Amino acid sequence: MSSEPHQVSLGFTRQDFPAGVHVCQIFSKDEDRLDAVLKFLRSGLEAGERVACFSDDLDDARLGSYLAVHALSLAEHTASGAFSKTGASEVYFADGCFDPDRLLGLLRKFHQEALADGFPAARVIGEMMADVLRLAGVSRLLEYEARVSLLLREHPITAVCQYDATAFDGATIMQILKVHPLMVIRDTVVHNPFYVPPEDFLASHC
Amino acid sequence: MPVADLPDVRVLGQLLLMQSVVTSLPDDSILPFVTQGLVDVPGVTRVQFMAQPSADGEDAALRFRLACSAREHGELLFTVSNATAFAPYADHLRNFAFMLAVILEERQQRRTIDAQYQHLEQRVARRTAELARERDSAQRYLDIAGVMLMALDEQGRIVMVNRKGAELLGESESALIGMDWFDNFLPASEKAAIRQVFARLMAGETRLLEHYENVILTRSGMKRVMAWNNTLLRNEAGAPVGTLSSAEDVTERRQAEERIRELAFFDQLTSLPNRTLLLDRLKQNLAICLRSASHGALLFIDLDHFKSLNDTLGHDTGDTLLQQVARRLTHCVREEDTVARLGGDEFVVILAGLNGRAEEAAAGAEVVAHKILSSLNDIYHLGNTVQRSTASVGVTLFDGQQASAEELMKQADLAMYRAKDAGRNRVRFFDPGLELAMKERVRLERDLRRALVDGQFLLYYQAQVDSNGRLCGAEALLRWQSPRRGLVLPGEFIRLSEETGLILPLGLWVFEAACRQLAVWASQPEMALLTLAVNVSARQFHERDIVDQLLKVIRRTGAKPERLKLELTESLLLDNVADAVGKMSALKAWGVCFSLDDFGTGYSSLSYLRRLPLDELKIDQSFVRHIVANSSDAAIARTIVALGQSLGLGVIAEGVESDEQRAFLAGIGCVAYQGYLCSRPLPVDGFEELVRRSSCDA
Repeated sequence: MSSEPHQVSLGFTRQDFPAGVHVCQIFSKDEDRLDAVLKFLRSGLEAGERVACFSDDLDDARLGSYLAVHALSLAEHTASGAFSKTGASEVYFADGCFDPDRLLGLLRKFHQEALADGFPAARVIGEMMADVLRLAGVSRLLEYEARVSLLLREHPITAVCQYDATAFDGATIMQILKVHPLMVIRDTVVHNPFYVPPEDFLASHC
Repeated sequence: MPVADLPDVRVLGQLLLMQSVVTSLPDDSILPFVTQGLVDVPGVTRVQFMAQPSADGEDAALRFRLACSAREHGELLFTVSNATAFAPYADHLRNFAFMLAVILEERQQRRTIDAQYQHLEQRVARRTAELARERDSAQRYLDIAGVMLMALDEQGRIVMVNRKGAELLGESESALIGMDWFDNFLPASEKAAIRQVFARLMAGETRLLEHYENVILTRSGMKRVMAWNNTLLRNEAGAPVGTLSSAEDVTERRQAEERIRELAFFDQLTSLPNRTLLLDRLKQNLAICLRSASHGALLFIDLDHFKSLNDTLGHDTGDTLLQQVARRLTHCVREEDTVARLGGDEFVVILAGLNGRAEEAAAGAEVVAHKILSSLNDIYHLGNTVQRSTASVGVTLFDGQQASAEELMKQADLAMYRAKDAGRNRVRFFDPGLELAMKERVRLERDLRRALVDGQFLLYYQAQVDSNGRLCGAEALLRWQSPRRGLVLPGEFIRLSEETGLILPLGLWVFEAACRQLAVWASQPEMALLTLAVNVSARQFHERDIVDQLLKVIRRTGAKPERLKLELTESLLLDNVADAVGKMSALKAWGVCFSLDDFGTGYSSLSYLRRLPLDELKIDQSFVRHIVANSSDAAIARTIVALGQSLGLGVIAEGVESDEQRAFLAGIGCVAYQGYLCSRPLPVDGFEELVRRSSCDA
């Protein structure tokens, strides 16, 4: 018996996507980043999914009041395990280094536990910090992103990676685009014509 | 078209995507992003951005200029390994380069605008800061000023006030701005007048008062005395647009000055003026008396046996008594009078503006002196004890001519000792003659009142002779048959009667007695045609209902009004001519005649004389007395006669005592007369006898 893939809303676009999409958001204004975070988390909670946010800069009060407007209780969802927030630096640079294997393991476990806990799906949104270039270099970052795309095939977490255009240089941003199949352009999610399938990307770069 | 010539849709999508993404990228990220992305174009091995475009024509197919308008932003230089694969993208890349140039141009322009805007903002911020500093600096100068500074606009609203002013007025500076100065900070009794002056100042109708002091009210209602320095603010055309003022709160200074003045001029126990201020006031009063020809009085008051009271009850009780005495004295006199304490139990009162005649001034002073004695004789509540006390009062009058202030003090002091010597609790005058005269005045008034009640007055009659030489009537003359004084002539009591108001009942009695006599004579053939002249005083004639009063008497007595001749004086008529004309006309309608008495002694004027319904002019005896020898008197008499003739009035001379006088008067046309030449004033019997004899002679 085959089952239809679980459809998800990203919150900031009307389109629905199958669970497990890997989306890149290039932002230059923090307000755009925050707007995407709030909508993404809300739509996930409204869909009953387990949601996680990796951010160093998300005000609980603002998130709480935003969710409250939409009849969602931050406290309740935090208590139930539906929502969790972890600092981006804490997630990506645990022990002061960027370790793709650890991160991929963490994502895998996040998905497995979500399903085990009865959530129909899981989603995560995180802002990649520019420190990654200093700590690991662009190649390790691209490798990680390409492997995330591979992981999501087995563990269809809906993932949005946020990159600050003012923190990463233009050439790096172009390379980051190549490892994300979807990207957000002005509240619209588009298929990325620069996207290089992870197998191809990893083969040519690693 | 060969298939190989078609561009890959994916690459075109990349170009579109890059166009979308670059708009979100920072300026310095755009070209690295683009050059990295364009490597995906088929056949391309490398893409470079060249800030300086190369010469035209040189590998033009691989160079894409980033040009927009006239501006060059550099070019994209492609290194191509497969020109055939690259060829289908050339036009798209040119379009892309143009779009990129547009974006770069927009960024450039925005940067320029931003820079200009930033520059402008910096200038504005700098200038704003400068202005703020200047304002703060000016405000600091205003604030550190030790005085209140305030500017008003032409409506009198506050447009500037410094911190000192705000503190003083009890309101914040911001709240004060726009408030109406006159409505909010001036006493109610003054605001309208001061606002009017301010309005006139703004209209250029009056000059600015640069320095003055006034009282203002703070927001909490406290009164403050402010000393102002004012400057007029003008616009470019020179018209007033407001005022700029500095003001110093001098309340405490003025209070201190007032306190110093109090210490210097006021007795600390009673708050009454002390000797220094008393002498100053006395000198002022002397000058006023001299100028206004009036009298004043100085009363020296000493409490009887105060020393023993002080010794017995203690000084505190004595002080309390003195304070109560001070209050009672103050209540006994008018506002314009002065009560002072010399020290100990000695007080002095200055009575100002008394009558011009010494006797009357003395009478007034005595009334006040006795009022004082009576007030001071009342019981005093001194703590737990009740005490009685008396005082002795010495009085001296002054008119500013004879004695100095110091001499007057001695006189009043001496008079006070005379009061003590006479047994205390009494009033004595410094001038014994004056005291005697004043006492006589009191007695005379008492006797007059009694005379009216007891019917001691009677009428004498002095014959009047008409132009035919016949005895035609008489003037009724008042006499007082006093049991103590004998027969008293009017000169001795009429003035007092007028001052005391007794003239009203006395005048009415005279009129009624005359009417009664006329009625009696009406039944006697030889007397029936006589006229009787009766004097009416000014005060009596000014009574509002005098016409009714006289007509009632006429009716009651049955006298014939046409036999009555009322003699009025010039001064009486001059007071209110219209009123006099009205009353005279009303009486004349009943047949009463009028004679103008003492004619020529006043300021008779033809203009009013013509209006009065007169029948006769009477030449005053003062002209008649020397009419033969004095050409001036003769000229006046001649004028009066001519005047009477021209107005159609009869003329009669009074005081005719000799044939020479009568002959002279007859010579100028006045043949009617009265006087000793014909007869002295006689009691009724004597007069009737005279009439009968005269009839027989005729």
